Order: sequence, then C-alpha cells, then structure tokens
Amino acid sequence: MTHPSVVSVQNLSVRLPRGADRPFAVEDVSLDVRRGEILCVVGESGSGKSVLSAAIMGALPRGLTFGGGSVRFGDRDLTKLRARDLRSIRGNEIAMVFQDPIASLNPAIPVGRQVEEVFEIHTDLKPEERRARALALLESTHLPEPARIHGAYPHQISGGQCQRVVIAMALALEPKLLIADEPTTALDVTTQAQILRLFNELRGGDQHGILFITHDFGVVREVADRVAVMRHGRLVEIGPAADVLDRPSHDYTRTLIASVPSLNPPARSTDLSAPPALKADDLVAFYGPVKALKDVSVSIPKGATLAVVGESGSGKSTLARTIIRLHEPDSGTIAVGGVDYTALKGRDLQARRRLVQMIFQNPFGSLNPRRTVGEVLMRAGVLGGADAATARRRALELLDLVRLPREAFDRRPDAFSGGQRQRISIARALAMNPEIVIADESVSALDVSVQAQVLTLLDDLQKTTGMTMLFITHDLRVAAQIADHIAVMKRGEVVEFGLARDVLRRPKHPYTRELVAAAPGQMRSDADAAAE
Amino acid sequence: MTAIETRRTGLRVPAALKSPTILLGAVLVGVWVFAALFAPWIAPYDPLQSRAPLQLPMSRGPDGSLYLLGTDLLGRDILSRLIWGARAVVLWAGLATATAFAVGLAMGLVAGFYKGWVDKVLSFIANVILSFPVLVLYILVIVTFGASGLNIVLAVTFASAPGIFRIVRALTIDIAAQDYVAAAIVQGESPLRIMAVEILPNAAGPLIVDACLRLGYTTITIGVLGFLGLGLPPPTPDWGSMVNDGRPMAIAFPHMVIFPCIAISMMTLGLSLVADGIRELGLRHGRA
Repeated sequence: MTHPSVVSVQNLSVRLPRGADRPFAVEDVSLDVRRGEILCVVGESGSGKSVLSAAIMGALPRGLTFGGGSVRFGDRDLTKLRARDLRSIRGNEIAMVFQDPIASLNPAIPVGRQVEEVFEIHTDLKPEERRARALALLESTHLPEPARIHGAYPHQISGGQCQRVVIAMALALEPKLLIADEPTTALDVTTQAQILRLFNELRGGDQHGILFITHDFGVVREVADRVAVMRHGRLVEIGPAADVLDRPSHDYTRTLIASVPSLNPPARSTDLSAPPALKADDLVAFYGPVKALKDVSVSIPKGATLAVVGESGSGKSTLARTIIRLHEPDSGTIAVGGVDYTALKGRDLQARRRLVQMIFQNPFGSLNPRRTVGEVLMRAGVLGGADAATARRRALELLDLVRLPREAFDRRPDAFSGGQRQRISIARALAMNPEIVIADESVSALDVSVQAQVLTLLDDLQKTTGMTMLFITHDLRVAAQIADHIAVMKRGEVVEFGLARDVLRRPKHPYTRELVAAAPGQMRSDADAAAE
Repeated sequence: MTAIETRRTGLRVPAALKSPTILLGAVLVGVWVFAALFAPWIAPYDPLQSRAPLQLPMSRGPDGSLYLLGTDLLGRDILSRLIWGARAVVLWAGLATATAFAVGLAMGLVAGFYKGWVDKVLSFIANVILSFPVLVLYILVIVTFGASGLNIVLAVTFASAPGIFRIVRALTIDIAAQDYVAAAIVQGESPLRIMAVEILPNAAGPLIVDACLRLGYTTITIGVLGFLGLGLPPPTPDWGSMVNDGRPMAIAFPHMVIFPCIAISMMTLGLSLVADGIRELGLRHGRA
C-alpha cells in the first residue's frame, strides 16, 4: 500500500528575518508526500504551515531564506534550483490551489480560456485540442454544463464553482504534486463539503500526491490519509489520520482536537421561561435593491443565547446590524426590554444605545489603533453613565473579567494578538452594562484553541452578568456550543427555529439537514453520540 | 496568552530622524525657517535701504561693506531681502495652507461621514471650483480683492480646499467603514467626537504628507503671484517679486534672479523631501 514519495522534505528550516518573534518560520521539518495520498498539514496561525507549502513550491515569501535541509522532488533539490528551473516545475509538475478562488482567477477572462492558457504556456497543443482538454477538465471537477461554464467570467459563477475551475487548472498538466492551501476556508459549509468530496475523488488516481494545508480538524477528518501537526514552525507529530486524530501521542494535538467544537450541544441550565429581553417582529430590510430580511421575527428570553446560523448572503449579519440600528429596517419593530427600540431617533437613540452592544467579527478592525485599551474602556464606561473615576475602576475590573493583565490598560491594540483583541472588544461591550450583547461572527477569525477560550469566556460572562446574547455565526459547531436556541436563516428568512439540541439532532427543514450534514468532522460527533 | 509585546504605535520622532530623506528636507526648510524667525538679527542690512546699486555677489561697496549675494537695481542687499522675504513666505504660506486645511478637513469629514445629500452638495461645490484653472482662480481673487497677505490666504484657501476636501472625504469614507467606528456609533458617541477621535487621527498619516507637499506648492504660488505683481504689496521683500524686479537685467546681472529662485526651490524641494520621507516611513509601518 505504501507508494513511493512524490516529494520528500528533509530537515528543512526556513529562516525568518532578524527581529521576528522567533528565528525560524519552519524548523527542522521532515515529511514526505506519497503518491495517491492526501497529507494534511494542520496548525494554528503562525505555525509555519503556509511557509512550509511555499518552501516546497520553492517560492519563499520576501525576507525569508532557506536555513538548511532539502526538498527532494524526483532527483532535484528544490531549495537549490534557480528561478528559471523552478518556473518550469511549477504549474507543470507541482500545482497549487489557493484559499480565495475568486482572487486566483483573472476577472477579465472567461474561465475556460484561463484553463486553456495553461496548455498554451506549457504545451504545443492545437487550439481545438486545448478546448477539448479544458472541457474535459471542467467536467472532471463536476462542473455543471461545462460548455456554458467554459465561456463564463469568474463573477458569473459561484465561489465553489470558481474553486473547481482553479482545481481543474491545477490538474491540467497532470502534476505529480498538488498543494492546496486552505482551499475551502473561504467557502460556505455546504460548498466546502462538495469540494472536500472532490478532493477525496482526486486522491483515487495514482498519478499524484496531495499536500493539504488547513487549520480545521473537521476538514482533516474528512480528507486526510496522514496528518502532520505543526506548531511554532516545528512538526509536532505525523502519522496515519486514524492514529493522530483518535490516539494523538502529543499533548498539543490533544488540546487542539479537544478545542474543536462538537456538534453536540452541552446541557445548559438557562431559564428559558424568562420574559424576552429582545423581541424583533416582522423585520424587513433592504440592502440597495436586495431584500436582505424578509419578515424576520426573533425573540430571546432574558439571560439566554440565540444563535443565528446561515451561510453567506443569508441575511444573518443584516439582522444583527438592523437590531443594533446600524442599518435602518424598512418595516417591523424591535423591542429591547419592553422599550420600542425602532422608534428612537437622534439624541434619544444615542442615549439608549447602551442597551444593545456588539462584539465585532474582525479583531483587527474593531479597535481604533490610536487609542489605548484604557481610553477605549473608560470612554465606554463614561458613555454608559459612569463618572471618570468609576469608569477607570470598572475598566480595570473588566480587564480582570476577560482575563487580560491590568498592564493592558496603557497599551494600544497592536500589542495584542487576535484572541486578546477579541477580549478587549468583549470588555468594551460589557463596559456599558448592556441588556443585550450581539456577537457577529466574533470567534470566526480566531484559531480553534483561542476560539474555545473565547466561547468559554462568553459563557462564563453570561452566567455572572445575566446578559442576553444574540450570536451570529456560520459555524453550526460553534452555535452548538453556546446557544440555547438556534435560528437557521436562508436568503433573508428564518427557515427553522428551536432549541439547540432539537435543531441539531432532529432538523426539520431540508436546508438545516443539509447544513448539519455538511458540518465537517461528522465522524467525531457520531462517535460522541455513540459514546453518550 | 498573557504575554504582551511592548511595541508601540505611531511614527516616533527618532525614527523620522533616521531617514536621510527627511533629514535633508528638514535642513533645506530649516535654513529658511531659522532665517524667518531671526531675520532682524541675522540680516546684515536693512532690506529696504538703498545702499549701492548693482553690486555683484561677494563684492564690497564704496563704503567697504560686504555684499555676499550682491545688491539689486535699487541697491538693496539681496541676502537681507531673502532673509526678510523668508518671513513673508513662511508666515503667509503657513497661514494659507493651514486655513485651506481647516476648510478642507471640516468639509471632507462631514461629507465622508454623513454621505447622502450633504456629500452630494459639498462634492458638487468642490468639483465646480476644481474645474477652473488654479492660476485663473488666484488672479480672479487677487484682482477682485486687491493684493495683500490676507488675500493670498483667501485665494490659496479657495483654490486648495477642494483638493484637500477630496482626499479627506475619501479617507473618511474608508475609515468610517471600519468596525471601530461602528462600535463608537453603537456606544452612542456623538458624530463630532467620532470624527475628531476615531476618524481624524487615523487619517493623519496621508494628510501630513499632503500638508508638506501643499506647503511647497503654496510657496511656489506666492512666488508666482509675486512675480506677476499680485503678491505682497511693495516694498515688502518677497521672493517672487524679487525675481520679477531682476528680470529686465537678468542676462547681465543673473544673481538678482538666481538667488531668489534658489530660495524658492530649496523651500519646495525640502518640503517635498520631508513629505516623501514621511510617506516611506508610513509605508514601512504599514499605513499612510
């Protein structure tokens, strides 16, 4: 069963520029990718997994240099080749699929032409042969109506279809090695499931090996034959998927796997009979000509958490922005603790804003880079009605509460990691003593281990402060961990609403069923369910 | 999780001093700022006093006094006139640029933050002004209101504010889309404070660069207006009008024209270098 290796990385080190937080981006890594297998390299941000893939392509990012070791590809060492020789290998013998399919395609050229271009550059096929090959490739990646797609521009087809085109291009010259760097991260779950299925099919052939870079253990479980876990540039462990995922030999791997949220909701003790803290009725909102919300009604009992789940374009973020009055509803009402929130205007609204606060998605864009954490938290306190001294004391307490050291008070956001910034955002929201906190994809940009910490923190804070939470997410697994109720949205409508465990275990709507089925890492949750 | 790096934000002064571009620019500009500040003490002679006509540079007059840069048609010492002229340039160029920025900033922030009809109206006004040739605008304003320092300020403000408005508006629209601005709105922060605290400081980098460049343009503008006889009323020493005064005899006595031209160039080049240097620093820090 063991096939010869396609590429063999031996004791590879890649040096970071002077002044970086560590000397090596990749340190003493040895692994090989065999023909006919998918090797998944998993790691959190900064683990060096992307630098590793770039090193194998022989294309190190600017400022990075090889610091020893070799990348053997056939009888050549890719770390020693000149740029010209590397170019003839790239695309030809090693092909790459990137994270963002739309950015990988030229928006001004029909996708079929872009596939044909590969043949134009690397082969001397005649035009009609090129077209035939391109069509065959599009068909092999299961694109519907290859002839139509062939003539379409990237913006005329979906993100998942774009990724299939990119994969078709990568496979065009029958490369020996296919490197896929987070190929499904930018896609919706249902699309991701389809692309993962495609990767599973691609392995079947005996022509190539696939190096699959990802941060998501759910994805690993779906596709990997072997798994390599990286941390701080070093290889933590490598082995067959079943061993690494179910019997990890290293503590770090164990922690990582334990951090992956499962689809099984834990038991929760929230009192769901409390009067609603937030009640939105028949909300209708337009984004330009698009009706983003079609008569959406939600209600959250005081102290409970509602997760709104949906794919991109479902209207879930519009719902959040409408409730918090960043976007004006065209009709419908929002009541916060019995107050008609939609009727508030101008200064009245400014004064009552305190009631509903938000934790934003992007930890790097939600904090003003020029203001210290203390300034931000104190200002929130003052706007919430406290005097300066109280606000200062409260700001320090909040830092304790979100488990940041008090020294953070005088620092600016760029001194903090993504997870720490998200804690600051949480503290800022809490500084106003809100009735309702809206978390809009607040943990989506975080690594799993940090994500788990932030989710636990939010859960604890809810218990201590009794806040009501509206949690917007695309990830059913995250919703499962934090929510009492789940509302599933599709195209501006709530298609299913119910207790978290009912929605996840006995989904009624076909779309919910599709979502649940598409959530990566099913094998794990099945095992969990069996264990219960 | 608790480790915090000690890195700080912002362009620090020492960083700016390490950039040779900024240093060179600062020296070129600094010479004239120094001259402007200490004119009465460092100018060898009274800039308005007629001493000995048409002395060449480095020559001595009949009374034995040294004229480093020579004298002009009316016998006034050119070096002294340049030093006193620096005063006029630094004062009026600085003031004119500052007012232009005040107007452009206020308009740009309001238009970029509120958008909608406010933006439409302000943008329309700006575009109308921008559609006129700048020089025609200057002449129009000066001819209408008369030649004086304050009218130069008025003319420069009128002509430059729309350009500044457009930059500020674009920056504001960009920054207003950031989540930290949304966070401030959600906290019930007042629009004025959002513009002043959340938006303006984050637009500062590109605006400082623009201010340096514009200060240079304004120096040239004042020179041009002086040359056309529309600048500061005579006999105020003014680099532009010095060039004009020397023009009829420039072939025979080039020093009367060359030195004021060099002064204008030094000032403009220096400011451009400073602007370039700041932009480079900003890029290295990932913004500007």
